[in-house]
Amino acid sequence: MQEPAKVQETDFTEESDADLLTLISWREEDGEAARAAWREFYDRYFKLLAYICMKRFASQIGDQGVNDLVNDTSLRVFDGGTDTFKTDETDPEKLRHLIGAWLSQIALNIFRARLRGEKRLPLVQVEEFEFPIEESPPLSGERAEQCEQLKEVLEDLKPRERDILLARCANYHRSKGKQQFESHVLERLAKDWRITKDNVRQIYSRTMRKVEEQLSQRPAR
Amino acid sequence: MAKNNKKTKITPDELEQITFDAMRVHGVLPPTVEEVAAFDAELSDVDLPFGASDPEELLKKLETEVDADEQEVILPFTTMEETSRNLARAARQGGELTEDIERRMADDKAKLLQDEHDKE
Repeated sequence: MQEPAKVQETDFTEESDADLLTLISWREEDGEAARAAWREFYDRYFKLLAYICMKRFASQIGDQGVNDLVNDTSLRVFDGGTDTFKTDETDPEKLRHLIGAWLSQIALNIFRARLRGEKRLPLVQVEEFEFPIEESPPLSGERAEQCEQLKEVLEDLKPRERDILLARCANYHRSKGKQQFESHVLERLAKDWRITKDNVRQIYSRTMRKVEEQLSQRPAR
Repeated sequence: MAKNNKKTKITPDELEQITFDAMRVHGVLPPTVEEVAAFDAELSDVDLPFGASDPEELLKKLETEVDADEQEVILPFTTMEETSRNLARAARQGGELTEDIERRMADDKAKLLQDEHDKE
């Protein structure tokens, strides 16, 4: 889509999702068109985003919290977020699912900001939009049991422990095996929580010890 | 089937994998693209507990939020004398000081300065 001097129409119901995002990104140049494009984008993605957020966050922040999270996430798209979405995907259905995953990442980052008690919610960093979450194989019986066993300990984590674990898991690559903390993740966490990188590592180790302790108590068959 | 609390040795690699899986199952990790596709396929049968908001109202909220962030709080510059006068006014619940009171305050201040000067 070529950059126009000014978009005349504001009915974007026929535009592709990719074009809507482009129009939204021209907010500075043509605010009216960007607003209209965003309204259409909100209509198209509200239910999908709300459903994903209900699945992921409702148990922790309730229905109203999810509603707010969905709206804040959508607003971040308008408020400069489009620059962070990059893809060559042209198939409309696949693009929709990519956008859904991207919106979920924004929602997660806003949720994390809330864990830190930040009033003004930050824009998400580009490196966090690289869809690092790998597809996992279906859980076997034993692994499913272990996951069930960890439910309570994960729910009882302190906000800082939870945030650090979240950031770590969001950048975890199963295929690589045991990994070092990626430096940009470490730096970001240290900055966000105003602690040193060593503190981040220590908190992560402590959290993993809690997890290990819980698992080690697993009743053997 | 008998159960006991036997310690199970888990390697650090396994521990991270299990934690990752548990976070995915119970936690808030964002869904994969494949999971989003599965959610999308279910949407027609989903009833949400809330509806979409008015997009224009949301945009207004965003603009208000940004305006509030950009608005700097600038404290008025006041001299010590103005400050004491304002405090005196505040003590009188905002009422204006009469000329008599103003003169007595000035006298008190002059006396205080004279006393300090005499001490030196």
